[in-house]
Amino acid sequence: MDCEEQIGNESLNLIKQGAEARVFESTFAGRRSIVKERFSKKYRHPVLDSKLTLKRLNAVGFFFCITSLLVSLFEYRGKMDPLLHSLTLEYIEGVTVKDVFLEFGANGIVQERLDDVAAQIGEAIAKLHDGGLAHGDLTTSNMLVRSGTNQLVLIDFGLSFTSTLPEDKAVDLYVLERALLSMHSSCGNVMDRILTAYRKSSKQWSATFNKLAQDGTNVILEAVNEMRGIKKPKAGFQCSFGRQRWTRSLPGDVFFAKFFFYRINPNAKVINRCHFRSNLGYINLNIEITPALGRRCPGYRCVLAIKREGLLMKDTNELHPWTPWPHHHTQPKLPGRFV
Amino acid sequence: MKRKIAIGFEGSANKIGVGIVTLEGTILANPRHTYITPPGHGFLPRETAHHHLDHVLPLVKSALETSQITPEEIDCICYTKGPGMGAPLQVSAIVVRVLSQLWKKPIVAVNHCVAHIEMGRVVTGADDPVVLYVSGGNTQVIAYSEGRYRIFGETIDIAVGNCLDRFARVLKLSNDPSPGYNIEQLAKKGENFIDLPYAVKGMDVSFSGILSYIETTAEEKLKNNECTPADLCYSLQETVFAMLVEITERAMAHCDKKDVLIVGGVGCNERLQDMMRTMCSERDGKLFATDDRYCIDNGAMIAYTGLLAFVNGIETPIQDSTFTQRFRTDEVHAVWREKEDLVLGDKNVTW
Repeated sequence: MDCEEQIGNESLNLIKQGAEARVFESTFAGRRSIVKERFSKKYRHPVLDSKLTLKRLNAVGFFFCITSLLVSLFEYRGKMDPLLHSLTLEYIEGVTVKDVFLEFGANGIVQERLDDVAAQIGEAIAKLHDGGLAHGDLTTSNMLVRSGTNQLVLIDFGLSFTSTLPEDKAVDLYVLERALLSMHSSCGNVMDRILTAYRKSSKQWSATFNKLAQDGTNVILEAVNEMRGIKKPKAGFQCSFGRQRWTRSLPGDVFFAKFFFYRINPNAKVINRCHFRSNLGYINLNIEITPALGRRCPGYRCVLAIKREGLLMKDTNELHPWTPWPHHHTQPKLPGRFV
Repeated sequence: MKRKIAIGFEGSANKIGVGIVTLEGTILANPRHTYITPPGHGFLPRETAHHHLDHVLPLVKSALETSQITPEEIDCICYTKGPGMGAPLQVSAIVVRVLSQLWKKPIVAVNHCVAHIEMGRVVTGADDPVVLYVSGGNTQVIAYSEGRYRIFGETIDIAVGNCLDRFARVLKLSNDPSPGYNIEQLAKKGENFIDLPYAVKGMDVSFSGILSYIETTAEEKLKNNECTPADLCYSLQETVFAMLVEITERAMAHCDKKDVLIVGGVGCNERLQDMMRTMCSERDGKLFATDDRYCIDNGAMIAYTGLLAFVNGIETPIQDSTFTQRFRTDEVHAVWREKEDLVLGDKNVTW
């Protein structure tokens, strides 16, 4: 190629040092471009290092060829230099999705923009997966939003591989979910919106979601009796699925109920009609078991406190007061079983 | 102002430790005792709990003697609530309940992982690092964000220390002082690098595949004289530590932090520290690591973290002083980290 010498003459300005590579700004054939140089890791054993560096560089090179054919959403095809372990790519003017979400966290959410970005993320991943590719490192830092057009661009295919296995695709989504949880928990449940868009665009969503659903989708409802200072602290609860747990309990006793929610349709809700009772009164409560509830409660354990004042949802600090028993102590009907 | 003092009990795995610290991070006493099994064996919950029961009271006595502290001077009694093995955890929970009633002092329950982080931070002076917590039961890359220590990457099957310990059992290495230490010493003699699987998935790692691979091939290779046990230890260390350094680097790039703190039992490994130091210097960051006094489970870390929570108004009523085998790092609301910016920033405010 004619432009090869031209690159050598261009000054390279370091923009960012990522985990795997240094990224420089440069020009290529008169256009603004990015040079990504995969540096060797001195901490690694040389044998291991050369094995990994080449494997991942090749993966990236191979991936533009495929992805740029597949859809136009991904990194622009560039030039690869296996000797210098470097790649030349299109310079994309824009911000990372991470910055977009962090700004939402700091300055409040712009719902429209959030929906748009989430939908685009879902679509892009779906296209990638349907084409038989797994990204391998889906985090919000690896997604850019092109300024002007607001188009989403996936970058950094260093850990990508071809795979038709639903497991690999589910791992992709799982990694993304974890990245969202750890950095952007203040943005609400973006993951649900991404999964909805993914489901719309992907033809193989069902197999992937089945694998995703096997992972940590149990929500444990934990009700702690905290009715101190009462002579006979009776408390208990029964939910529409699960056996009756109406017992006389002491403060500090804990009731557990385990619920399973289905990730296949992220919008699906399982409404649990729960009935709490104590000698102070009763509370009938509908608890929606959704993926969002699981994410809101740390470790998928939602803790409720049965207190003298009422029922305290520990995750949201909502207090549901007791409805006092009627004078003649006619007990209300228990909720029927879940249909 | 009277100095705040806490006593802490740690017994989540095969070590029982009692520590007495002040809020400034001065360790007044920190004795511990380790349950050591014969080569080729691991520690079982029941036997470990018996060991802890035998040693806990002498440890309390020796801690009080060394520190020259009377029970009246202590402000709170802290213990490990979890995560860990159920039976050993129970020992410290019970001792704490008894002492709390004898001495009339409040109890504070502490998360083991958070305790490692806080101890590492106070000993090394690291301000806001990415933490690599590696031990026999846990492998996590953690960073502080929005009130909690969030887990950015972790093992999806067994812990790295577990992988090393189980391989030590295959080679019948001694468990004294610890299998990991003996692997480290043997690895120094290794010369040939044997190719092993390398399993990094995004920010997560997996070790069970590597362990199965090395367990099945080790016997054959050793029989055919293709390699020595030292080579195997060397290759295993190089591979698993490279994986750990890689995910740590990923987390650093992801959350724009410069420094790394290594805590947990495997954190004493000098080869891991070397590799991490190299990685940090490439990124203009600093490595903070501690030696075996603080890296390995001890009572002082529990006491210190409990005291941090206590001065911020957290206490555990005796009826809630339970223990749990599963207790994730991000379940704990790190109140003191939120207040740190407010309170420690202003030198006029004392605790």
